[in-house]
Amino acid sequence: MTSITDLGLTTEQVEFFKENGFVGPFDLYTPDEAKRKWSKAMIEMALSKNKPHNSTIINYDRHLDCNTLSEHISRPEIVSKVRSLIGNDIICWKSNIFQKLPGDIGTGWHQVEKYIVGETTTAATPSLTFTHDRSDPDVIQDVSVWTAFSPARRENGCMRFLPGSQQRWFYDEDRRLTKHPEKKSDFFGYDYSELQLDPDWDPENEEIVDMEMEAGQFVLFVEKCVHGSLPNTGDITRLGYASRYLAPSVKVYENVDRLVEFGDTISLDYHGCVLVSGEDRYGYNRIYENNLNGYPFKKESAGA
Amino acid sequence: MPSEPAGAPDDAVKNFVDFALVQGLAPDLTYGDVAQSKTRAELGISSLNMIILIANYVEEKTGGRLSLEPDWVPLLDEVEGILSVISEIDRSSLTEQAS
Repeated sequence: MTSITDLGLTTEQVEFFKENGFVGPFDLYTPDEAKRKWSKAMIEMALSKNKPHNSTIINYDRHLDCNTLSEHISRPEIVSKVRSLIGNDIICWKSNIFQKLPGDIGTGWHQVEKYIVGETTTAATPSLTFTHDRSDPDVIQDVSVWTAFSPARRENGCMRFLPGSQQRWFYDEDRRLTKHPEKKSDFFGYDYSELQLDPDWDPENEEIVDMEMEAGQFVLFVEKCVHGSLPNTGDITRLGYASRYLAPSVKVYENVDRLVEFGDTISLDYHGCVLVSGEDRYGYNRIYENNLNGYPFKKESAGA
Repeated sequence: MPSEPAGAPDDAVKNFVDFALVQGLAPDLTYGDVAQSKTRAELGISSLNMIILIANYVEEKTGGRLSLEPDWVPLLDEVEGILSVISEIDRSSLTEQAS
């Protein structure tokens, strides 16, 4: 029998993550399982009677009302690896869908930590407030997991990383992004290169790792590691689902009650985090034990 | 009623367009649009709205005895796939009525 501890990262993989800012890909579902799970999730999303919000543009947090995605965010294959990085106590605070249709452009290079994007989050009111010191690179408090639900090869628009870039800032996350409808934008309607600290720096001249994945594989990364994606030049839609994890010591949306992003607005009245492992010893964030349908979230305990 | 293409629409096209119009999810859809389009996107229907449409269609045709199959979802991105799903639901409905 395989225990969750067997599914964690090896010492070498943890070291690789700390040095490079990402590690993977890892197997989770077979390609057929991934395809079927996504189809099931699509049906649940379309027919949901308990949507967290009504936006079709801001596609956040459908793990809160789609049982298939509720189950996905707590998968032991994922949680055990996040545990190897963050520690035993873990909350999932956000998820979003990254769909790239054939012909869609790539996503521009970016790095974030406090998730100051859109019009309601600012340096003074970030999405995330870290209550523990961020200066120790060995203490990891946030990890994103990007799961491919379709092939995500170069021609489909795979993710790409600048290895090691999480060790310093290349962008000023505290500055506001502005919408420029007349300009070509490659960051969901914004132009992230506006935030570059050195306007002459060209990420394309850095060492780049293209993270090709098969449907059903996932990669772990820290959002501060500069990342983006290639354009979809293939003939199939690329589907990615990002689930985002934190130590419970991080405050989520502490002073933010709505999000205005990509031309749409959602209230955050619905928002809550999911304790996927361990305990919440802080009580900073609302924790959901069941999703909005009443489906219980699974929580893994170490060594289970 | 939607405008007719050169030939009479087959049952799947007619059933799909007539139902989409009643549902109000594609108010300007014509038989000709379906005959001439290859993809769902060309019909101006989002992927989630297409799922809602087919879920309502299967409910109407089978009275809840059949539900939308996950295996159908990838087919709904192409017009050919949409029509094959409509035909399959129609066949199931007829089989149930006959039995």
